[in-house]
Amino acid sequence: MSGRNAVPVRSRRSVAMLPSVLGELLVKALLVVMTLLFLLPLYWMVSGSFKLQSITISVPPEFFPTRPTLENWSKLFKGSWPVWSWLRNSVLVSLLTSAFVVSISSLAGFAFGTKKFPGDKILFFLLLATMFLPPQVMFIPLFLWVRTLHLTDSQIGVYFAMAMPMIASPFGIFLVRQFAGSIPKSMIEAATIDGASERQIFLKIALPLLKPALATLAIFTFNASWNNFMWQSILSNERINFTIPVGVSFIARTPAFGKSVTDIGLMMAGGAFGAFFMVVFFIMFQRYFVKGITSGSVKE
Amino acid sequence: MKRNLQCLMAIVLLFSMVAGATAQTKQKITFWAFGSEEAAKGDTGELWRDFYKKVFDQYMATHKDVDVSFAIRGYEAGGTTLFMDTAVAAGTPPDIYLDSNMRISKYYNQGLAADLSAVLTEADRKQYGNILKDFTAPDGKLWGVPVSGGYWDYIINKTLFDKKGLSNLLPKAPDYTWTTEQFLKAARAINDPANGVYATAFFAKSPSMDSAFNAFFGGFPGVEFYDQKTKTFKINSPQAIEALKFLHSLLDENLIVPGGAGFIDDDIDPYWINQNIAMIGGANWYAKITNKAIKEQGLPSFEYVLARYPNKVGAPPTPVATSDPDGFIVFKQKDPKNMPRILDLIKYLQSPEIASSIAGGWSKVPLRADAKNPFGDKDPDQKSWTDAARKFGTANYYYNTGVPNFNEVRQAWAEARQSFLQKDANIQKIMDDFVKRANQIIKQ
Amino acid sequence: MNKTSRHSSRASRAAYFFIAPGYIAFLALILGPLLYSIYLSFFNASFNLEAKTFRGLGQYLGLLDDSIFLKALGNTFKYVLVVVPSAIVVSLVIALMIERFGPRLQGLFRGAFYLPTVAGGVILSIVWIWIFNPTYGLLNYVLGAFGIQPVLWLSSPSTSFLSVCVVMLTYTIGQPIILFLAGLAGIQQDILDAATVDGVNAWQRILLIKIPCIRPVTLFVLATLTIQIFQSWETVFMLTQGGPSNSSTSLVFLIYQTAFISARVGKAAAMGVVLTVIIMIVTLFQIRMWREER
Repeated sequence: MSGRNAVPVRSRRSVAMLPSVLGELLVKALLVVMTLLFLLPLYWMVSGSFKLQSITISVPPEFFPTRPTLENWSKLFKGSWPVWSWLRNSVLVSLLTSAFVVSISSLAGFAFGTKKFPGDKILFFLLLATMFLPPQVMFIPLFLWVRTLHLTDSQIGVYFAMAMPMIASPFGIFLVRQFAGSIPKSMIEAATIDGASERQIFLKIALPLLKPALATLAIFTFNASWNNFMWQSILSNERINFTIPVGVSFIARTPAFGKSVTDIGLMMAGGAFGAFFMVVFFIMFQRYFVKGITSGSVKE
Repeated sequence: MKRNLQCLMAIVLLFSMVAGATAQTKQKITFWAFGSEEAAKGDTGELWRDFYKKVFDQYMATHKDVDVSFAIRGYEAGGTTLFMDTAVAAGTPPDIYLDSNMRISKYYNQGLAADLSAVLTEADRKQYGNILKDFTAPDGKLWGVPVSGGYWDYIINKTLFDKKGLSNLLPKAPDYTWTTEQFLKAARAINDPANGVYATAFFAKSPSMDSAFNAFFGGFPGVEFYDQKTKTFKINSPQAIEALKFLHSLLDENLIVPGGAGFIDDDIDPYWINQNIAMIGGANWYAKITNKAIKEQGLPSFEYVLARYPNKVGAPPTPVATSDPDGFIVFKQKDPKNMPRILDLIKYLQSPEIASSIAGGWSKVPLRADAKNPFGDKDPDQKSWTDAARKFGTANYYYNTGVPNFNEVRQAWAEARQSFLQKDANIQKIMDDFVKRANQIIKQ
Repeated sequence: MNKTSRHSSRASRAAYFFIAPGYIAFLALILGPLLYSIYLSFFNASFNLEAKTFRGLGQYLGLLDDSIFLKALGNTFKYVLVVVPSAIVVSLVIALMIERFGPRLQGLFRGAFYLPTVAGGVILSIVWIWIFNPTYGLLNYVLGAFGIQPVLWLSSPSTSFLSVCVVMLTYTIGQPIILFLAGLAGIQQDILDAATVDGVNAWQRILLIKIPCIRPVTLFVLATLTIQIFQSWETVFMLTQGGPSNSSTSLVFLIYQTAFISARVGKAAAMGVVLTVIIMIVTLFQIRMWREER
């Protein structure tokens, strides 16, 4: 664009490109190295699950298992650890939490996003304000409450108890409100004039439009609930009630009396098993994850 | 016809009233034991839950007026008493709870224990001897009834010593005692980090198995962790510091696995069963676990030998003493009329045969002198040790009797040991700080 | 009454019905417990709540005297000051690198870096305990190849904090990378093209155009990461249990210990309140910063 240079634009660019081609390759190679480095712990865990105990603690460590064994996995599945119960527990708790959050958030988010009513600003602000609260502050009273109600005496009770801290997620309401705000007002007005009830407007107009947002919220909540380690470990009293993260952490740390000896290969198998489902889940629903993450960030 | 029907109805009514009446007089007793329902007993391999079912079915067959329900909990929760604490808080503790003194004394300290003095006759008390001290309130009332106890020993990988021709350095039969000097000599000789062998190991990341460390104090006379009379901690006394300096010399001379401050006892296991540690302090059940693990993982097995903890040169040999006795505690009943049947059940449970079986399940020693040693015929090694332990009585390496807020003290002690296991530790200062903090904790 | 006001009052009533389930859950599960925590924080209490004794402000003053609480507080701030900027820088750099690839590969890399986040802190900590082992861990072996003596990562007060930071870093960069990529993709191409033609080189493009353009994303990442690290618990719990000698403990870990191990729920509640206040102040401060630059 400038007339100052005698050299034509095109060739100037191609000259300047040479070092940048090298630089480009360098950057790409560096990225690949960094990716491998960040994934190394996960690889180490999976490869470790196929190593014998004596190899896991031998020096130098093996990068590729030279004598792979399925022993750790068979111990994991055939041993005294009820891993499939754990999986079932995690799935059911996360499903339950997701279901609650989606229903509550869709209702409340729809109302906040499409209606004006006395107190709407204050009520919403109160919700928003607590979005940044550390959940651990609520854990103590919730724990006491759960015990007083004897919720953990029954299997269903345990599921409800585990879902409790996440149900009233202000984030969910916030997210749906964002999306609900973009529902064309004209559609709602037209339906109202046609005599539709609020319930019908919600079910027939809002919900279909909110579906992508709700799907994102559901998947996001499912993932968050799955990894809600602290609350689940506080609640878990019997082995059969553990969720996967809690159970896996117990394989890594068996308590003293009558224990069996710590087995690193078994620990790794447990960890790999625990990570596996979430990884598959993530790969299947990657775009929802991304959407959930990016739509949380305020763009306006 | 009608009269016959009425007669029949009257009989049925009468019958159901009687049945209902007798049903109503059945007292429900809840019994919780620390452990895991899926775990197997160490002596017979029978599942704990099957064992307790048998025990209680037998009792209920001859006592038709009680209905005992039991649960075995807590093992999975990392050995914490959270499930008990919350049951207590919710006002629904079990009637009877069986667990180690370390844990049940907490409830005694909270004033929740019923008086069990009526359970034991004079003859019974003689059988328990001075172990009852750990279960007796200052006013002489019994707040708990003991059942079983472990003991602490140093377990040595004899095969490693044999291979290097160093077995002459090990303590000898029948008493397996040694001084700290002899211990150091053996440790220095066997220590070979370059070839992956460490003499021994310490761990301090969590309070778990802190007795394995505390048991060293048994070999140093005059060392007192906690003074019951003045109700203060005394682990910063000159005698204690001397013992600690000996222990720290093991770290200074690189005789222990590096990084102990970041290990729990579980982390040391792989070293031990892979023969990377020559000897380790632990409890009597560790030997059994070792064998089981070696078999399970197909590792080369090794011969082990049990030794006492080393004693200070010139001091008497460290005794083999039972430690941290397990016992029953009964939570105060809302209706005092419930007590007689509960006391009767306890009497049954602490009887020699059942106590012996419970102890054997934990690979421990029954504390009644007239109870059969569960390893008498099966395991002659264990027998000599368990006999010695019962002869001596109890030594409380948890030092917790009558210490309020003991869990917090124990956590503080873990932190003190973490500081202790650093190369540049100022031992006196660490112990002074710990004593100050612990004294504060028990006053809260 | 005309049509609109009848409609709006009907809409209002309906609105209350719609928000009712959410709001009831909110009151019961968030606001209620929060207020109860605040109430409880003035008492000396264990799980046997009937036996609680009133301490009032003394509970909070006692915290100021408690050296372990102060250590946990200091550590928590340290974690935030170390991990948050590092995570932002690392994830931004990685995002800038990923950006140079086509969309398919971008998705691949983005997913790869998110995998540790998906696996979660608990599972990662399990393998890092093995990696950090002084005798047979991978890390000391690799360092040994460079002639570095074995480091007692989790066992020494001087390195435990750093070890926790490293592990935290591995699973906190996943989300920011996704956000930064989205932000970078949103920069209008013609600005960049104009700059290139003007002779602005790649570095200058990054520093002078891209980074300023994604400022909102950066600030959002800053806010969420800060809150996340203030609440760090899992890694501390699994790796070090706060030790050795509380060198790596965090406020939330201390709250957990105080409430569920020492069974001092009143004191733990007080610590929770302190944490809440700190987070709120920091968040408000950041929101202020955010608003200002618009």
